[in-house]
Amino acid sequence: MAETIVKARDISKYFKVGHRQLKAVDGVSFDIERGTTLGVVGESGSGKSTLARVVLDLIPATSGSVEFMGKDFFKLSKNERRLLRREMQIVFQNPFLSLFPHMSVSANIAEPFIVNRKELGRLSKAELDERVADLMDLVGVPREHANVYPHELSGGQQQRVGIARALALNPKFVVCDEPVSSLDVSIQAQILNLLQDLQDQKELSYMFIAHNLAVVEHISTHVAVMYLGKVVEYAPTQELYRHPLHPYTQVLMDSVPKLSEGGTEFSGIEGEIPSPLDPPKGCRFCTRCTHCTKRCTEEEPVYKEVEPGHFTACHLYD
Amino acid sequence: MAETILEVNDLHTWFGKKKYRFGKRKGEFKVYRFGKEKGQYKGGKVIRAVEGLSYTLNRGEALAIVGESGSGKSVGVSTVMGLTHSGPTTRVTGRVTFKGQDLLNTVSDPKEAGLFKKHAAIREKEFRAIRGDQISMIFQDPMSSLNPTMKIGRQIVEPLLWHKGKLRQEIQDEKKRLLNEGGKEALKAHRKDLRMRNFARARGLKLLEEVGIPSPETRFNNYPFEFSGGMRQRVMIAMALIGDPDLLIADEPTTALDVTVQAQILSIIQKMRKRKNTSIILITHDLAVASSFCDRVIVMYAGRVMEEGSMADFIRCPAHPYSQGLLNSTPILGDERARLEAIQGQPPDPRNLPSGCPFSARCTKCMELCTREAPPKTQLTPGHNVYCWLCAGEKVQEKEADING
Repeated sequence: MAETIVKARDISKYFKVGHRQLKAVDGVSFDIERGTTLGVVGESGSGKSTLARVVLDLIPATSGSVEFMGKDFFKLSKNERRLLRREMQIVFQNPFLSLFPHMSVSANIAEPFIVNRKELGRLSKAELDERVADLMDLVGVPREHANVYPHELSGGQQQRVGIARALALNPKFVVCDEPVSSLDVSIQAQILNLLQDLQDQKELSYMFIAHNLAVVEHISTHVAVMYLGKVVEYAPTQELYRHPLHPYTQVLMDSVPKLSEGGTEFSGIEGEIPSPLDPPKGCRFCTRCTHCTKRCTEEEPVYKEVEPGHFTACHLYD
Repeated sequence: MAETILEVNDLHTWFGKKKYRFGKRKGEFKVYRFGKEKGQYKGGKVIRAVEGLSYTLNRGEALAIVGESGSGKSVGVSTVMGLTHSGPTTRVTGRVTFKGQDLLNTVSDPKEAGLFKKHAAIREKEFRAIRGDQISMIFQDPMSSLNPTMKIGRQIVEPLLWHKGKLRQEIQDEKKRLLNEGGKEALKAHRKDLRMRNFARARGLKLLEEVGIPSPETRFNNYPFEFSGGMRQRVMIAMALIGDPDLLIADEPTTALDVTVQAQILSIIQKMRKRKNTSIILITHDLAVASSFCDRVIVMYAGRVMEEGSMADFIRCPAHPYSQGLLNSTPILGDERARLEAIQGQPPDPRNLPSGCPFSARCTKCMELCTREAPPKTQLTPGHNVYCWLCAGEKVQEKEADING
């Protein structure tokens, strides 16, 4: 049995908007084992990024708990939490905005060592340079780039620097928040391969957020589909992509354009994701679902295991 | 034989810096006199954004232009639209013919055209008659291409009111129809509807409904910020289609959208194309989107065409190493490869393109010849051309003999 790195239970995050409550994430639970990747997919506004930030405690959760390597992350003291946080890192979508623009590439990568100098011991200049050089080799940034500034690099190279910085302290868990969606296809493939290689080398666990279903299928071992703050389906990747159970997952799969020789008809669903301020009663997907019954509009479906390892929240499978 | 809508022949768009003028003295527009072989103009490096782009587009046909960012696909169409034109920092050569009319009006002799500025003004005026009416464009980011201070209704009917002649004609036709059907009473009853503004408004409302915006009557008076991303893109489409264009240019219309909304938008464009037999140029970096409804494809890299051909040929047997790399590095739903075959390296700096084939630095099958000479066009099957030495056959030996001897 592999070691469970992250155990999230009933995480909720409500934001206050005026006098109303916006349920960005509502009762999400998942486990991530060592060396595996949880892919999170969903439309914009489904709460994917909020979930990632809550798991890392970058924004405090309204309720729920995250157990990280056997410790209840949210209940630790501030200092302990800070120490534990070295084990978890994040790679952001926009590589340029997440790097310090006034610091050179090497200074950007060295920053984690400097921030954590108390715990790691102050490193000498030579040691620091060596570590930075090792990290740059690891992610494939040429050493000549050590003294250039982020704006001089291309998007793909910037993202590599972002990954190098995230890996500086040898984390066990890395959240990738749409790391490839702003990159070109050929560069995207390079970054995906890099992430996979790093996972094999260091037994990393990823939580990989993306809206591109093909990318998620490629990199994940498990996939969670989110809709309006809730996980509607969760299964191992192959199982989910071969037998999507929830109507929303099916629709998502159908909407992805496929490479074809003779052209295809598009069979998307009508309408857009409703406002999370005012989610529909009952099943949240009922306004756009083709299988919607009266029960769906009144009673919220329970999230349960339909087949071994395959969870979904839909009345169709009662 | 289908009618040819657009013919682009050997289009070049080059950019320079503003401080370097093309001519030596002020007022002398040497831009026309520069030979094509002289890539550099005084003192600065030229960015050759588009180099020798040629294609023809028939009525009702859909062409995809595929490439990475910086490959010149957007500049290519903005030149066709006249949004990029010759000036102090830009140089456009080549020929763009739209329904038999020369759009670039490149004058070979500057004296013939008189003053450059006057010439440009005439050109712009002529262009406005076409732009928005016969050629229209959908941009990638709908928020930055809609005017945030104008209600969307006004923005949608704007192209109609710009081309009043056509609108007047349509109103006259409608009047005749009413007169024939219901006599003078009918004409009197619809008097208000026949006013130019109201007529345009009715057209706009109908179109908004067609592109799938619920309750168009109320939405007509909303501002762009009140719409979601997908809805804004629908508004853009309505705006582009209101003049019944012969050619619709869609510049990455779905890149910023979710998959479900992307499918909706693409199906709207597809339906409109079928109904009105519009020709479409779709610019995208997503091969799957391109393959889903385009008949032909052009693959561009660093401003040059790498491969062109029918979509079916291209997907079945891509010939250029870059096209193959592009197809291999695209993750596809349901494929079980453990690793993607990425193209190594970075796209070249447009100011310092390598001599020879621009892809040579990243190509796994690069030969010595590739780094020296730009590859010639080779026809594989009718309509399927590739620019690569690998496919050039005996031309390689000829060239090598040429260089050695």
